[in-house]
Amino acid sequence: MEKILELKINNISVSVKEGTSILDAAKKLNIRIPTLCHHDDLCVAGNCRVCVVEQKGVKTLQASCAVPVSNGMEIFTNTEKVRKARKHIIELLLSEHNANCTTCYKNGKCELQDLAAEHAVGENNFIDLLQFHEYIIDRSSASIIKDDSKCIRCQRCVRTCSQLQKVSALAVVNKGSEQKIATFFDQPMASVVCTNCGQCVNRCPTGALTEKNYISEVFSALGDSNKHVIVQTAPAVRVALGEDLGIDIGSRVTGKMVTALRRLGFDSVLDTDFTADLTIMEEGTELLTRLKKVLVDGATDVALPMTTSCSPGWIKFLEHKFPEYVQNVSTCKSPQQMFGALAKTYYAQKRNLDPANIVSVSIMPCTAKKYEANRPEMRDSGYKDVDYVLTTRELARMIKQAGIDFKTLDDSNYDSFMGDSTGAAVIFGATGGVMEAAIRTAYEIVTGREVPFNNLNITPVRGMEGVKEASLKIEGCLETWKFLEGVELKVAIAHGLVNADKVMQSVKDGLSHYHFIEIMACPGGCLGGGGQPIPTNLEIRNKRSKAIYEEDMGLTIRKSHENPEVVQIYKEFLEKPLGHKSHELLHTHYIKRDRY
Amino acid sequence: MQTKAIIERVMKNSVKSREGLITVLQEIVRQKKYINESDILDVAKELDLSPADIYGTATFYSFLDTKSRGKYVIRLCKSIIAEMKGKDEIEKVICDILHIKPGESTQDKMFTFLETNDIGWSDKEPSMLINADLYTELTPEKTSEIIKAYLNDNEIVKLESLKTKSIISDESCRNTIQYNCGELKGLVKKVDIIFNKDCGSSKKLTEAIKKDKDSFINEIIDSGLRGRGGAGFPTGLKWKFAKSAQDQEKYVICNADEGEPGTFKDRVILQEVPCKVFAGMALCGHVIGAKKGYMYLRGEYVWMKDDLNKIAEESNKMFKELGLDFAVELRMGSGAYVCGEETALIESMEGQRGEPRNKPPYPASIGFRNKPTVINNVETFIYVLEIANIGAQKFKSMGTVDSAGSKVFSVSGDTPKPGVFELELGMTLADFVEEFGDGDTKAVQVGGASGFCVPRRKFKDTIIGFEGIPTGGSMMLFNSHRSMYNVLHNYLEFFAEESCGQCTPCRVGCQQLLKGVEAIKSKEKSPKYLDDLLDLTETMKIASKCGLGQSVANAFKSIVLEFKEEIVY
Repeated sequence: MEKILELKINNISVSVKEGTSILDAAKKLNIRIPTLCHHDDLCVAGNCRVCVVEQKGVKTLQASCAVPVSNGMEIFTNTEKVRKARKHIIELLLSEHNANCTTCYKNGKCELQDLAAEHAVGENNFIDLLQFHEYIIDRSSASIIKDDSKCIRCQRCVRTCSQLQKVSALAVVNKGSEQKIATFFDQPMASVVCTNCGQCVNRCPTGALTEKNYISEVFSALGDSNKHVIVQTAPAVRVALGEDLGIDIGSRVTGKMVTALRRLGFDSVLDTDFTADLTIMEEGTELLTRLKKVLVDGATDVALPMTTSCSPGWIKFLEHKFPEYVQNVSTCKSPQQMFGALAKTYYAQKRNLDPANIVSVSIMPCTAKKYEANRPEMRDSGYKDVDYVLTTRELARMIKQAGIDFKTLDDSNYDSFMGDSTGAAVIFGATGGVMEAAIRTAYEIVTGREVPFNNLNITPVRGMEGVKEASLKIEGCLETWKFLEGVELKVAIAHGLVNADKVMQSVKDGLSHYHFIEIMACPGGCLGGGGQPIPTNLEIRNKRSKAIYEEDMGLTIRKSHENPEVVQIYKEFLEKPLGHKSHELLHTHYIKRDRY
Repeated sequence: MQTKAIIERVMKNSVKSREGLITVLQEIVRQKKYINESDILDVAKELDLSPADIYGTATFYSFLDTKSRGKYVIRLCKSIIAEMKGKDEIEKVICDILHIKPGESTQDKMFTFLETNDIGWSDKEPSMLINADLYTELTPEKTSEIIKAYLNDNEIVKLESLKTKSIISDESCRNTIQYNCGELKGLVKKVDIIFNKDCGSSKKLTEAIKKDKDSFINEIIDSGLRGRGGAGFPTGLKWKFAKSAQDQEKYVICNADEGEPGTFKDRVILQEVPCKVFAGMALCGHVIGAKKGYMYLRGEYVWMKDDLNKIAEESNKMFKELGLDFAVELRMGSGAYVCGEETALIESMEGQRGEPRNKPPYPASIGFRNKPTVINNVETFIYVLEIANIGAQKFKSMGTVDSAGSKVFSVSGDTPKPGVFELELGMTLADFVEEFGDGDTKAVQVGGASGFCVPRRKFKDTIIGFEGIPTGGSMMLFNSHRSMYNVLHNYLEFFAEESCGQCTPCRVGCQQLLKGVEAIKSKEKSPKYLDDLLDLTETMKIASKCGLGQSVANAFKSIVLEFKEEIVY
């Protein structure tokens, strides 16, 4: 039985389960204790010491995040002793921190700045320690800027990179006054195993890790009358953008976002959902084809399980850590890159534009998409398929800079064409969404019937469990797909690279026999992406997820193959899934990289 | 040897795991002098670890060099005692001969000259390590002779007579060698338990294991024995917790990572009576139910590693003969003072950076490999073994109520009798100084850099023991010629380097104290800033994660308050 412990915090009694930290016990009483190194998604560190509290009968202060409650404990969170220590700690952190706040990218969004303001640090007497260290700002990565002069050594990034992502591109190095967060032998971020997922950026309390922003480049393009600037928005952006613009977490702001983008001056506001649907057509067909080759033709050179390819963080992870499995990844480009390739071909033709004059911008919940757009393979249109990738956060900033009062905006609809969306595409933003969308379509292709789930909601593949498994028996196949009759389709879904690693390891060890695996690099899928508004935690991700599924339910068309624009593009441009044009524009290949 | 071969060799008897990482890195350094990128990549592949993570671990330890090093790496001790005994002169000799500055390597990659924190020879400073060879009581002439011999590679053999060698021999445990610590006047009570002539560890252990375990634990509790490493936790209680922990797998660890400046008594104990230490560990294993004991020996004592390993093997044989299912094994540290903190030590043994853990839980419930673990100091294990034989009564008849028994002290600095002395606890500092001082003692640093500095006027009222000033054994005497600013500055540099760096008060606080006293000295900050710094040490004392950060205040406050004019002017 779970033990219940009694304690008093600031003389107020509270009972909590055994194992609860003082910090969480205080939360129960609505007593907020400031924290910095603590993060709901990460293991306890107890490093920054900002959360220290006084315990009756104990000489030293206790780090409330790290100390579990014991019975009869009496805690005080706001004594003279605590306040003094806390202020000292903030002052110490400021003394090793490049506090050029007004020119910092994170100005106004920095947890250290907030704490300093809250505790009225004022004039800091301590000696500026920055003068004794040499800091170089690492701008080598297409996605992430690392500025050690702003680092407060909370190690959130290190814990994120190792525990959530199992990448460990960042580590704590040296000790004492030389201690810092670094890559392998201080190599540039661009040349290490970093997957560009940006989860560290999402959790960095200061401006030490930020996304590389392309705001001014995009504003310049928008101001250039010779350029036709188009924008695509990823599914997960619409359920999170509001958070940075004063709207409640979990609100869908699709219509307002479209209006805002139009006001920003984009010539055409389009939807990545369109190519998400297209991805389903291509990837679904690819899966069925692989299955046919294996089951009917007895091919031995066809790689199964097939994994999804939408998440560029996952792709780079696989290229580094499981290079022997590059053949297993769907050759489909991600929806962003499919869109980019079509923008400067199909779209250009239809609109009678010179692709050289098209500037293709994408709004993504993701920092790895910046890297992806810069991959040399991503120029199949003859141009750079996607010119600039902005995160949800950057878009929010642009909206603010442009003086747009987002909250009061009216809704409007995406432009056509390449602006149509289905519910299947929207749920790409949540873990399990691609799987669900794929099953909705593939099952129907194979059997001619809708998936046997209430309201098309394939609930077994939904939710925040790290690795989900499901199987679906295929029965009543149409003639073409008879070979699948009775086949038990086994799938797995993983989100967060630590879970991706688990699934791939189990495949590698021969312990799992899946046909299809959906993998997203970020916890919760794209809705928890590294480009999404800060902060993030499970509660926030759950709210965004709820919003995504609401958006799905709210759409009249909820299956990718029924997207009218998708039907149209096959008719007038692509001909058929996996056709010649598709291969040329919509598919890609992967690179085997060094694991270390 | 190829890195891969090194890994195979180091890990031939164990599963390839994180735990072996530091041993692998130590071997790479031993063979190649430093660890380069491709070494780490190889290790990463073999152990399935992230290279950045390995890099981070290596850079935590001073002896796991990741920067290019010469064939001979000179590590000159820069402790305060070394400074007092002429370290600067030695440094000059080395620099002049090799034409390099500290931190540099010669162009021909033959030499790298580094300075290092206390290597445990405060009784014989100045001292230095050249690779794993040890040289103490250096004079400019001797240093010159040594360096020149290394310059002419094939003359190194001639150096045998100049080397300080491990003195453990087959005879040692029969105690034919006694540590010569000089005659005392009798103001302090000399005790002969630890080094007593009748070592007989086998006999003592045989008797001890006949006792009922629980009543023996009660006897240790009754004896009043407290940990001899410095923190002073009641030893019996620690064993009791570990014994009562419900787990099949438990561990005994001997903390031989004495890094406190001015401490060297464990070095002498391990040289003189290593069998007794291992026997004490076996006794602990027997009592708490552990089958495996590890001795974590500081990297600076690498020169005694082979000898100790031999003794460990012999001890293991002896345990077997006594029917004990217990074996000891040596693990080496790699130059990180903080690893003397018990949870940092465990982290280090598990192949990690030596960063102290959050407590609770304490090692007695969750320790090495997350199993119940007793960690005691070298000296403590011997006292338990001895208490089993002489009884609690006799032990506590010595010392005081709060500080029962005796303790081994490391005496250094301005004293005519530097060395190791086992003394009854509870003496006043006045008596101690009368016995060991040079007649001009201005202050005594009790307990090393993390202890307290006591000025002359307080000698009479200061008791050495838990009711006064507790100490892990380091007693550094300073006479009136010494600048207390230099003393403090030396400590602060030490702490700023040796802080693990994870918690804010310690990492940043140590730097602020160091830069702060420098700024006051150079008049960049007004003397009033000292008050701000004193205030800061209060926060460091109560808000730091472990004992390191918590105890920086001790020396700082006691020196600054007692010798303010020396700090300011």
